[in-house]
Amino acid sequence: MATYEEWNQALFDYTLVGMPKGIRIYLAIDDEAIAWVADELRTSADDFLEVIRLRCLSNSAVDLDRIFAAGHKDYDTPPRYFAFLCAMVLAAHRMGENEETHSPLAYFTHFNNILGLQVDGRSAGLKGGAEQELWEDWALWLRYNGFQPTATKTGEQYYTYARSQALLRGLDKTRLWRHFGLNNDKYSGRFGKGELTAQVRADAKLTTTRFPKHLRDLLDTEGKIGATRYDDLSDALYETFDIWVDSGRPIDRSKAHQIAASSTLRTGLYRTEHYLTGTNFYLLPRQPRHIQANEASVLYQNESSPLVTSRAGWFEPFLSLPLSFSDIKHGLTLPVQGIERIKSLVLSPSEFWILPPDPDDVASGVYASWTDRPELGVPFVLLCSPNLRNDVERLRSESLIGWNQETELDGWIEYTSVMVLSDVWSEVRVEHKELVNQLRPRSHIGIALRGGLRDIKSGAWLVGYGPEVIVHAFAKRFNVTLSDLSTNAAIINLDLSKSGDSLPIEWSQSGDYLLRVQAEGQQYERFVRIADWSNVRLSSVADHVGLKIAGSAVFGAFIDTGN
Amino acid sequence: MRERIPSMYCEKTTVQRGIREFYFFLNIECDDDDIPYDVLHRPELQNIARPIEEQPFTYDQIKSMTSREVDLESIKYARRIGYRPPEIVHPDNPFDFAIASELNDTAQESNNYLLYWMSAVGKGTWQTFREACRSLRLSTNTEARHIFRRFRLLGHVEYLNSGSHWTICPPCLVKVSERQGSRYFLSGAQVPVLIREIQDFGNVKVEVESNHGGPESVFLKFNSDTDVQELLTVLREMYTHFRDAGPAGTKLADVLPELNGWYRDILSPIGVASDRYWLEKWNGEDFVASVAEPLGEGMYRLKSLEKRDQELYYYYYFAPERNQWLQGDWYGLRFLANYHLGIQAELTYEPTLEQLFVPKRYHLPDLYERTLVLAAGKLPSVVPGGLVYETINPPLAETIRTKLYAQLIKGR
Repeated sequence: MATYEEWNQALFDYTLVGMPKGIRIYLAIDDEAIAWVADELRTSADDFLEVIRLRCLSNSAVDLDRIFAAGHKDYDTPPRYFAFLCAMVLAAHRMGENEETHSPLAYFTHFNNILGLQVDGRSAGLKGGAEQELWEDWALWLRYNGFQPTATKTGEQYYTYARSQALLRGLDKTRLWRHFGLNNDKYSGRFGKGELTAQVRADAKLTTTRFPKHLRDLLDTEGKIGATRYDDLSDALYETFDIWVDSGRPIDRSKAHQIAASSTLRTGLYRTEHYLTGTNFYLLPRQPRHIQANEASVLYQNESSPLVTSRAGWFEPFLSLPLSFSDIKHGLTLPVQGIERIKSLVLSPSEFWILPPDPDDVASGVYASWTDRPELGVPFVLLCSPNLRNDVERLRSESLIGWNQETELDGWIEYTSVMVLSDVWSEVRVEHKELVNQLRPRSHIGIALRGGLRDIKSGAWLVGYGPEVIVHAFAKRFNVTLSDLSTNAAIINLDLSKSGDSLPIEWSQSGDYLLRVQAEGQQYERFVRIADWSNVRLSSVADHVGLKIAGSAVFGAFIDTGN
Repeated sequence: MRERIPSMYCEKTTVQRGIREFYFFLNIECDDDDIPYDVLHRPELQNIARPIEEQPFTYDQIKSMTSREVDLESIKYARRIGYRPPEIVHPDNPFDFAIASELNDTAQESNNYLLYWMSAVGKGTWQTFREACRSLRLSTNTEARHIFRRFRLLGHVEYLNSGSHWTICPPCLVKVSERQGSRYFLSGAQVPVLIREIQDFGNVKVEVESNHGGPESVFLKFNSDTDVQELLTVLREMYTHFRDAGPAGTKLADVLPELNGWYRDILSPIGVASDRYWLEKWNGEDFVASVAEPLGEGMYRLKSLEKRDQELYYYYYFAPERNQWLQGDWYGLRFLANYHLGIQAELTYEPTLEQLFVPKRYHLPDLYERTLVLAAGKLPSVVPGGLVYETINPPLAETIRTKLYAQLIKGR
C-alpha cells in the first residue's frame, strides 16, 4: 500500500504536471482522478481513504496539526496537506452525484464518509473555518510558483472552497460523451473552444438533452461569455471532447475510458525573428497532463527529435524543423515514441494564431502559443490566413484592436504589436466568431510587468532592477495596492484614473510582493519576487561543442585539445 | 455623424399625453473633456432630441434614469485603452562593429551585474541581452554588441545559432602569464556566492581589478600549484562543470592557424544572393559603393534592397577563387581585407613592460585578440590611437606577429 506521502506527491503531480505557469489551477479530484492516481501507484483507490484516515485523524477527529504547520513557509515542495485538500474536493464532487441540494450538511455527509467518521454535520475536529488557512496557504503556494489560484469561498460557507474546485465531474463527462456520440453529426467536425462551449450550452437547454443538474447549472452560469470561470469551463469541455474524439467517438464511456487521457500531444507555434533569416515558425510541443515524459521523442522525416522539457507545461521548440505555411494551414501529425499513453504530436490546422511574448522573458523577441488568449495591455502577434483579413480590419475599424505593422508572409498576414483596446465586443459582426471569442478580453483590468533583470529559473527579479509595472484598465477609476507578503502590509495604495502609465515603484528591497488592481468588482493580482544579488546561483551550463580549430574545440576560455 | 457618434443607447421613458418619450444616450467622440456642442447642436439631432444637460453622464447616472438593466456594452463603448504603439525593434546584427564603441568607464558595477545575471540565467536570446543592457543603463542598442564582444574576449560568453542566442560559458580558472607565478583569473560563469566561496577557501588571495568597458576581473593568487588543484577539487564538488583552463591564452595562440589558414579553414561559407543587396567594399579606410563585375576579393558591406527602411547591414568576405561569400568576425574580416590590400599591421611591443600596442586600424581578429586578453585576464586599455594589452610575454607576442603576418616594432 502506498504511503500518505506517496499519495500526496502523486496527487500533486496529477494536478500540476504538464501545467504551464500562469494558468488557473483547479483541484479537479473526483473518483476518476483517484482511480488514475491509484493506477499510477499500483494500488487500489480505496487506499486513498485509508491513508487519509491514518494521517489526518487523531482519536476519530480531524487533526490538522499532523499535516499543516501555520506560519511555516515552504513553497518549494508540495504542501503536506495537499492530499487532505484533495479529499475535501472529492467530497464536493461526490456531492453533486445524486442531484441533492448544495448545503453544508450534504457536503459534510460525503466528507465524513470519506474520513470514516460517524457524525453528522461538520467533521469532528475541523472547527468552523479551520480549512480556510489551508486554502489560503495553497493559494499562496500557487502564486509563489507562478500559477493562479481558483479556490474561492461563497459567503461564510467554508465548504464552498472545495465546491469551487468542482468543474466537470465523472458523471458530467460520461453524459457529455453520450451526448456527443448520439449527436455525432453535430459534433463530427472540428471545434474551437468557444464554438464547442456555445454548442453544448445551447444543447443543454433542449429538453431532449439529459445533462445532470450540476452540468446544466454550470453551463448556464459559467458557460456565458464573460463569466468568471468561462475559460476554465471551456478548457474542461474541450479536453473532454478531445479525449472523446481520440477514443473513437463512442457513445459509452467505459471504465477504461475513465482513466484515459488524450493520446495526442498538442503543439503550438513558436515564432522567432532573426536578422539573417527573417521570421520563422516552429513547433512548440505542450507537455501532456498528469504524465511525466522524460525520454520521449518525435519522428520527423525518419529522424528522431527528443522532447526536452524547457519549462513547466512545455517542451523545447523544435528549432531544427522550421514550419512552412502549408504545415500551418493543413496541420501536422507526427509519431511520438517513449510515452506509453501518447501516440502522436498534433499541430491542428487553424486560420489564426494568437502569439503572446514569452511570459518569463517578455523582451526575448520570441512570440509563441504560451496562452490561447492575449493578456490585457501586452502586445502580441496575430497570424491570420487571408480569409480573416476582412474580419481583422473590421475589429480595428470598431476600435477593438490596434496594431502597428502588418506583413504578408507567404500569403498569410502577420500583425505585430497587436493590443486589445476595448471590452465592448458583443455588437461586432464578423464571419469568424472564434477569432472574436479568443481575442475579446476576459478581464477589465490587467497588470503588465516588463523590463528589469529577471532570473528566469526562479522567476525572481533582482533588487534594484525590478520590473516596470503598468496597469491597464477599462474602468475610469481603479485602485492599485502593493503589499509585502512577509508582513501583509500595504506599501503602496493608489487610486488612479489613467490606464497605461508606469507606476512609481522602486523595488529597492528584496522580498515577496503582491500587486493587486481592483475596479468595478474585479480583481487582478500579480506576484513579484525580488531577490538579493547575494542569493543569485549559477545556472548549469549546457554542453556545447565549441568552435573546431585543428582538432581542438574552443568554448570561452576552455580549449579542449582532446588530450 | 457616424464617426462622431459611434454608438448610442435608446431607453423608453414615460408616456405623457399619449406620447412616448425616449432617452437617447449618445457616445460622442470629442477632444478631451470639451463639450461637443458642434454635435449636440446639429439640426439633425435637434429635430429628434434635445439635450437634457450638456454634460457627460456617468454609468450610475444613466442607470438611475432607466427602469431596466442598462445595456452595458453600449455604455462601455467609450472605455478604451489608448493604443500606444510600442517602438518597432527589429533584430539587429550582433556582429556589426562598424560603429565604434562608446566605452563607459563609470559602469563597472553594472557590468558586474550583467555578468552575474547572465551566469544565473545561463542562456537567452540576443534581444534579451540587449534589453538587459538597457535595464542596466549600459547601452544604446549598438553598444550592446561591443559589450558582448568584450565579455566574449574574457571567455565569459559565446554566441549561439548565428548570433540569435547567447550562452554563458562554464566557470574556469585561467592561468595568466608565468611571470605572475601561480596567478589565475576566473573566467566564465560567476556570481557573488561563488567568489565568496573561493575567498573562504583560505589558501588563495583574491584580487579584483577593473576592466575598461567590462566586468571586474577576479584574480586568484596561490602559493603553489597544489593549492590550485585543491581549490578545483572543492569547487567541482559544488559545481560539476567547473574547469581548469590552464594557460588558455597561450594554448589558444598555439592552436590558431596563420591568417591564410584562418581565411581558408575557419571562415565559414554563407549563401548570399548578391543581386538582392546594395554592395559597398572596404578600401582600407571606408566602405565605398561597389559596382565591379565580377566581384573582387575583399570585405563587403551589404544592405538589403528589400529592407531599405531598416538600418541593417551585413558584412561578409568574398573569396573569388571559391566564388563564395564567407562570414567571420567584423574585425577579422577587416584585418584580412587590409592584408589583401597590402596593408600590413604594425604592432608595437615593449618587452620589459610586456605591453603590446595595437593601433585602432589594425584591430586584431576576435580569436587572436582573445589570446591576449586571456593571457592577461584583462581587457586592453584604451589609449589614443589604439589598445594596449598587458602581461603579454615575448613568445606570445611573437606568435601573434607570426600568425597575423604583422610587423612587431619594439617600443621604447
